[in-house]
Amino acid sequence: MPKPEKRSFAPWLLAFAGLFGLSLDFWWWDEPPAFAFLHVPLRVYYFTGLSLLFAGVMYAFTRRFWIDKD
Amino acid sequence: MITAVILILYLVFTLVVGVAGYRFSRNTADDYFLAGRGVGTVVLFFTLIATNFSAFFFLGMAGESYRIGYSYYGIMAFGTSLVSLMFYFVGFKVWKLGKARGYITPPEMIGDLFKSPALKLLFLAVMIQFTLPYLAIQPIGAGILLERLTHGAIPFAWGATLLTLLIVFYVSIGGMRSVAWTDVMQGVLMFTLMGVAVVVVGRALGGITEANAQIYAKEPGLFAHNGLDGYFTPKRWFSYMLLWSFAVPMFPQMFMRFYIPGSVRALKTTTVLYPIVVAILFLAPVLLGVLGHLAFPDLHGPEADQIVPMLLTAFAPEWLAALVMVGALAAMMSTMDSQLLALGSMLSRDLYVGFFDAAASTRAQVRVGRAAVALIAGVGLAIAFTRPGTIFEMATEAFTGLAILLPTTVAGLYWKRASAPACIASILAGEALLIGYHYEWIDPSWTFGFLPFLPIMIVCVGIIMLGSLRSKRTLSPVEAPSA
Repeated sequence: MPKPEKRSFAPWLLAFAGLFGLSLDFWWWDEPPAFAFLHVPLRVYYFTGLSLLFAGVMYAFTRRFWIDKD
Repeated sequence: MITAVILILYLVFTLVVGVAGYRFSRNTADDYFLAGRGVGTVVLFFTLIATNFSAFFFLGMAGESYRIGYSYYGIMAFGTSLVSLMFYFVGFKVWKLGKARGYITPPEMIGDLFKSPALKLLFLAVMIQFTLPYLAIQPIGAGILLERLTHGAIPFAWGATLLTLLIVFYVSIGGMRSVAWTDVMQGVLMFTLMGVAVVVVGRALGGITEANAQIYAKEPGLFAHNGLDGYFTPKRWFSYMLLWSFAVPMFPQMFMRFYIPGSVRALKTTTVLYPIVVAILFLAPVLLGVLGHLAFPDLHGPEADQIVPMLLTAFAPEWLAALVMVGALAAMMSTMDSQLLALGSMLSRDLYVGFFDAAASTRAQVRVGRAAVALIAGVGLAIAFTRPGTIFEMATEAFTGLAILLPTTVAGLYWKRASAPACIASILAGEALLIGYHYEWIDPSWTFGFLPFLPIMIVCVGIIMLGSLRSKRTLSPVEAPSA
């Protein structure tokens, strides 16, 4: 009988904690704002990117941990 | 004239969809309160999003961006994205439990998990108390919009009352099915029309790039990382980043949506799409709020909540302004209808059936639910008439009050030893602290620079942990969600 696959939660916890850490972006708070598309602060796009990255991690997470067994 | 036509067409169409939901309904409590627990992916996605995006999205967020600047986007976009983690850790378990044990309301589940009517009643009371101010935001928004849109022909009080009555009607007849179906229509409208509003206002101001450059020259603080006048400190930023994900799953209208998916696939898809939609959609109100400085530079306090309707009436042709306002009305209505249904269901199931008539028929439960919807709508409207603060202030208070229920919910779902007395003590202490901070009976320095929400949560979690160390519940929590 094949051994059940071991699914460790720790790397995922680390990934979510890492993303949360990136949202606490205090290291550039004292810098003058840089501008990007539409003369909107670059930081706005940083958070858009962070949210999209989070969605990607959630997708991978749900595929691994959330099995479609109703 | 064109405004009236567009408004009437929208309201009639909403009623038609609401009545259609009623015609498909079956005479069971599950069907009225939870659409028969058979909601598919598309409807679930739209009803979750539309329920969560309210007057706060259309008016409050733009108003706050006007007051704080672009930095506000970060805590709203990423902070709200984090809510999707709760869809997994709370939502999935609630869905499984609801399906297995037939729960309809949140207090019903908590009361049963802990075998404690007292905890159930307390959970119910807190949910009602802190949903009411958030509910009142919706008629406030509707009143503001209709007054602006009709140039005062429909005064604030009339607009708020008109929309409330319409919502009470279709919620009463059709229940969750009508609410979810109207949410799909309202969700599509608000997503599309918010984007249209940005394009129209941006073009009228000479292009978004040019407008932003001019605003930066006049008011660089709006572009600062920590907001205008240093609004955000690192501790405040940290608190806000957590607040939404702790509070949103505890909104009764969101919690009840965890019961309604027909399959786990629907909930899973929504979990992944939610952060994407949030990140894209929230750009619109933030842009509008900041751009508003160019046309209306001197708004203060709650005045700033009107920035979107002010921009539209100033720069968009009448028909387009009316159309976009309809999108805003859709956002408000889609939240208020869900809030009314959730609170009505709770008063019917948890109070009437739970404490007065345990053998009540489905018909009696639905009848009481309908009466409760009307009663709560009346109370919400009364709060709206007093306009107690800015939309953002009212929302933050409501969010904190509801977040206090999260430790109890998580303990009920995951910790076999968590005891009812400890959870009751946790909720009572949390709410007492919130009141203490609100009225400054507790020195504000005792938040240690964070929002009151954070020290309150630490106290709540601590009480549950310490109070439950020596206890053992008779009912085990459900199995791990990865099953």
